[in-house]
Amino acid sequence: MKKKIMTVFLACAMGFTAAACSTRNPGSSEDPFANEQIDQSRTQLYVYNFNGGYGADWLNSVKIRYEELHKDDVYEEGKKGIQIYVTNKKESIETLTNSILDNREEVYFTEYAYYYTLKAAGVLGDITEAVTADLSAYGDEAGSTIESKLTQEQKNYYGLKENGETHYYALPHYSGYSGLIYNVDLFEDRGYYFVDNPVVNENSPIEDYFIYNDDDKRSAGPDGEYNTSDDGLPSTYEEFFMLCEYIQSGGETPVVWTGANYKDYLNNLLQALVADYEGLDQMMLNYTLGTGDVTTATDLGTVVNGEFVEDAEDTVITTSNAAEIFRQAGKYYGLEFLETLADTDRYHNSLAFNSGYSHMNAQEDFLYAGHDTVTAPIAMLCDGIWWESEATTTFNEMTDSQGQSFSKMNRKFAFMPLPKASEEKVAEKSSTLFDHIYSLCFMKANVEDWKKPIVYDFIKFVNSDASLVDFTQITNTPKALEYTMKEEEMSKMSYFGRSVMELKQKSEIVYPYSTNSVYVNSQSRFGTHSMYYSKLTSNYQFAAEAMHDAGVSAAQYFSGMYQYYLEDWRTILQ
Amino acid sequence: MTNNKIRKSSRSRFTVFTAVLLAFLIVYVISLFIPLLWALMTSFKAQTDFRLNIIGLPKEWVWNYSFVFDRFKVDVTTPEGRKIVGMGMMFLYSFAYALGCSFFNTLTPCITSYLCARFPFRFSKAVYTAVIVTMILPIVGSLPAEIRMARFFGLYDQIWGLWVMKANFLGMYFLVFYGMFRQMPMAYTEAAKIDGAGNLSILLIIVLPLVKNTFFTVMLINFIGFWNDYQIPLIYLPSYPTIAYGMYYMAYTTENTLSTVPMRMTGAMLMLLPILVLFLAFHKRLLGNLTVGGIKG
Amino acid sequence: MAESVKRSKMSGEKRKDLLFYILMMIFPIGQFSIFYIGVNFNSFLLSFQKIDLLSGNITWTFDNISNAFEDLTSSASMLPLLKTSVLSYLLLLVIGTPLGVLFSFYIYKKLPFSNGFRVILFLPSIISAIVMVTIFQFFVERAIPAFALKLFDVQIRGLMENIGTRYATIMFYNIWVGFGTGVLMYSNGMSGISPDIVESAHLDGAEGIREFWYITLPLIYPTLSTFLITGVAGIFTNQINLYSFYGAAAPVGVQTYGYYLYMQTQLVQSMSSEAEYPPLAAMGLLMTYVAVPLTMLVKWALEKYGPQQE
Repeated sequence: MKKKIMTVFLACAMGFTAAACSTRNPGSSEDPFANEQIDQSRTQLYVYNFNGGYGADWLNSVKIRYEELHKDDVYEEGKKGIQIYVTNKKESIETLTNSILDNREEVYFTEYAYYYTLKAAGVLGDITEAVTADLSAYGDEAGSTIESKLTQEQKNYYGLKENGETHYYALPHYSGYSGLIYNVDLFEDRGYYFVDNPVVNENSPIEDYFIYNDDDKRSAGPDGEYNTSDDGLPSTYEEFFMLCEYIQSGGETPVVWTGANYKDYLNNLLQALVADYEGLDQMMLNYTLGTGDVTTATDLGTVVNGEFVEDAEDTVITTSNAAEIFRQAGKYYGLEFLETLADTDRYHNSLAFNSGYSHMNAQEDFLYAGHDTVTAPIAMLCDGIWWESEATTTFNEMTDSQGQSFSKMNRKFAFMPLPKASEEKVAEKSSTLFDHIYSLCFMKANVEDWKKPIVYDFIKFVNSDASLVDFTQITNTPKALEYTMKEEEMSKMSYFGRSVMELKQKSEIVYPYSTNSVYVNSQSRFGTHSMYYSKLTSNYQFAAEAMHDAGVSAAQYFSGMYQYYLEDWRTILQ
Repeated sequence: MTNNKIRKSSRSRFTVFTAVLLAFLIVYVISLFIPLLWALMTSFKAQTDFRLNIIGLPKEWVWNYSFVFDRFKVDVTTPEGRKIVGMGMMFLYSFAYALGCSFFNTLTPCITSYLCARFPFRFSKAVYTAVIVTMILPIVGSLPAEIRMARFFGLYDQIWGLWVMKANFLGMYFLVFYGMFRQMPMAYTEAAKIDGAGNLSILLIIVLPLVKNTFFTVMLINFIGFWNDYQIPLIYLPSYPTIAYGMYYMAYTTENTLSTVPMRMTGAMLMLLPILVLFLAFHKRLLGNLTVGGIKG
Repeated sequence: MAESVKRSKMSGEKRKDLLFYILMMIFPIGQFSIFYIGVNFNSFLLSFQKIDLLSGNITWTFDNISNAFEDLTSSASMLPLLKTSVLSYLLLLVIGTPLGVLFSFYIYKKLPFSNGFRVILFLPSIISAIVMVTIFQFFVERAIPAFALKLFDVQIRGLMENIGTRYATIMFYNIWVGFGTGVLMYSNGMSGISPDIVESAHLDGAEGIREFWYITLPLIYPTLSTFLITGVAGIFTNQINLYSFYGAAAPVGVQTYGYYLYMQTQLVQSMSSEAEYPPLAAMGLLMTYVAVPLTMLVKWALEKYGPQQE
């Protein structure tokens, strides 16, 4: 008997293999250069690409354009033209750091890589020549350099001072913002927009706050200006939750997010809310710790009787009292927002805390809901700006089964400008984004001298305006440099991609790093997921978890944060 | 012949006690098979089906296997260009890696523990303590040093190089062997010594056969550990991707078609199958059904 | 002087033994010196260093050790960790181990299906943790609520989502997949028991539970005690598969020491940030100071109070 079972098993196994073999085709269809060989008639430049959410399509486009441009140039005797040879990998930065000097690859594009750590490991080569060179040869206007596309914070951070000169060893690459994505098609269809100056009293039903006809005048939205793309969107936290009430009253789900990674995703949302509240200068205090241009924290406070009370005096932040920064008002209000959102079951999906519900599942449900005859529509998704490229398969499946109107280019989603904590904040008319992806472009330290000019030229090319625009069109996300796009260039992007680019162009951006030595030597304490520890009955790392699992309130969490960092700071400063 | 005799004598009747044990075992088997069957069934679903139909039979049976198998490959960069390693080669690399490492990683603790257990030198106590300490001591940031060392000795990116690197005596199996050798009656070896046998021949002819049962068991456990390990090959064998590395590579690929639950279950089944077949084919031998009695005489 | 006198008195036999011992020890000790001590020595040194990444300066200090001590003894997060770690150890000890031994006994007695059971008990061990955890997690989180809804028409939360069942579910998993190695070792140990002893016990009427208690258990005691001794270290190193389940964000209430340290190491390593290794190395070193004597104590106690043989 047992023998028989064995035989069946073996037969099954053989069957599997045979069947699998029969449909096997060599080479992958996704990457057109998967089987590329080294072309001995050309000079090679080896490029490493971290094959994450942003993929390699943008780099393949760079490769084609650059090779074409230099096809007749001679770099080595007996060879003509250049071959950009791309290796796509997904190694941890630790593995990469340890193998980099032995790697053949000369230029690197990575994410979650820490500049000063790599510099200290001795793997970065000096690319100052590329950063400061004029880019007009590649179509930029005269005088444009890569350096001129960096923000002041970026220049301070990347430009290392050595013997009185500034040297660059890496450049920022792509950006990663998190927040809320809303379904524009659904918002338009249901009229989920606030009407301007609603005629209401305290007994008015909730729908009186929203538009009824398409041509009703919408409110000014979080930017406080009429006739902008955010008209009618919730401008304050209060309005946001009114919107949630309105959406759920019709049996639809206001917000969906992954249960498997809810701590990360909600923490990223929290960080985005805090950054938007605090603005660039105040937010940077968290990283510069008083060694930057701005040293005064203007909105610190404490919780008194469950309410946030701002200090009467401003506080000058120095490295030694930096724990004070964890009393910022934005943190308190962000936590309050999070508490309402996470603790009110009707505002979110039922699997929002289920570890078997991945971010892919959330994206799928967001796209399918309302179109599968079973699930009710979902209005918003909590995710990052890369979500569309992660959801490509689902877009394609839906296009296959339900038609072209479900394609990525045809459906309308947008990155929501975050609501403000109060009316006063709306009046400030500022918007701040938080980039948490630490993405880098660099040259490795031991590139042969004759090849360095090629690397410099390639880096210049990748960061020319034309290439930046090309990157944005392909990935539907912006690079972490300053550049603008024209209307017709934007038209090649998805609705969502355009909304991100538009928001980026009118926002200030927080790049969370500094050259403060405490920062550099304790980088893991400054990651987004290390900035919201709180000392309660246990130490909690994620506010959403403490609120959901232990019923902690925003006020308790906020006070616990200060307690935690007071102690933590003593250890750091030792 | 002797085997049969022993088997017969130790087979026993049911008692209430053993009947209760049987009941427990049956519950266990059921609890194990339900999730595995669910996983198998899920591997035949399309993601669109699974999204709304988590436990039902597939609405439409989908053959995800060829798709996953097709993606089950790793590209390796060599000086000549890109080399795509398919499942067959990965299987071979896995086998060479796991077999060699498990053998040396079993032999070394076996011999070392024998020396420590049977030769009462003070050094033996030190070795024993070292084993205990290293089991607990967490190591931080040793990777760069380890890679440097591997390169220095020319072991990097060589399958046999990992055999050497894994030939250490540390870990709990040292203690298992140690316990056995301590328990082994002195009489066996003393008698051989009187007959004029040297230390080496005692070890090879008398001692090792006595523990071969445990030896193979430990080796099997190690084998499975190495077979399923992807982290070491990822770092030390860049040119020889193993099957576990292939699985890891697949699971973390950006291609989202592969990260759905049905596809992951398919990958899991695909990875499970070869080792399951191997295991079922050889379990009699590997699980140590050979009963070694005492040496008579 | 005394040493050399002693050595010269050494018999030829002893000398041969020593020579053999040394020859056989060369490789293991050499390997150990290079690939353990050589590689990890730096980790030990790190406990006493402070590294500045900007200047590359290294200073020597005891601060890491004293901070780690303070963290381990006073910090709010550490006491719950200790509680969970000890509880997990005890659960594995009082549920996992006895069940393993009992199952082995069943297999050893060659009762019906015993070979099949042995294979099945070992099955989870041959499946890689990534695969097994994936299957289990999706099953308890998504499939079980779906079953409950379909069969009993009740809405329940996922078993790991529900805070009341979360830890129990995780420990169930650990025990559930953890039989393989133990059963293999115990049943092999049992099969080494001399049939003469068993037979004479049977003649005295000892069968079933009596045989198990008076004959089998004492005879596999050496194997069993090895597992118990190494289990003690588990209080400080066992991460009860939390990393496989949750990655770097396991819920606070179920975290163990082993997980905490592993996760911190992963976090710092993922940044490859040398400047942050020292505090972790110090904490590891400190735990070793507690765990090693504790292990030795348990070993001593098990040897002293356990059943004697020979």
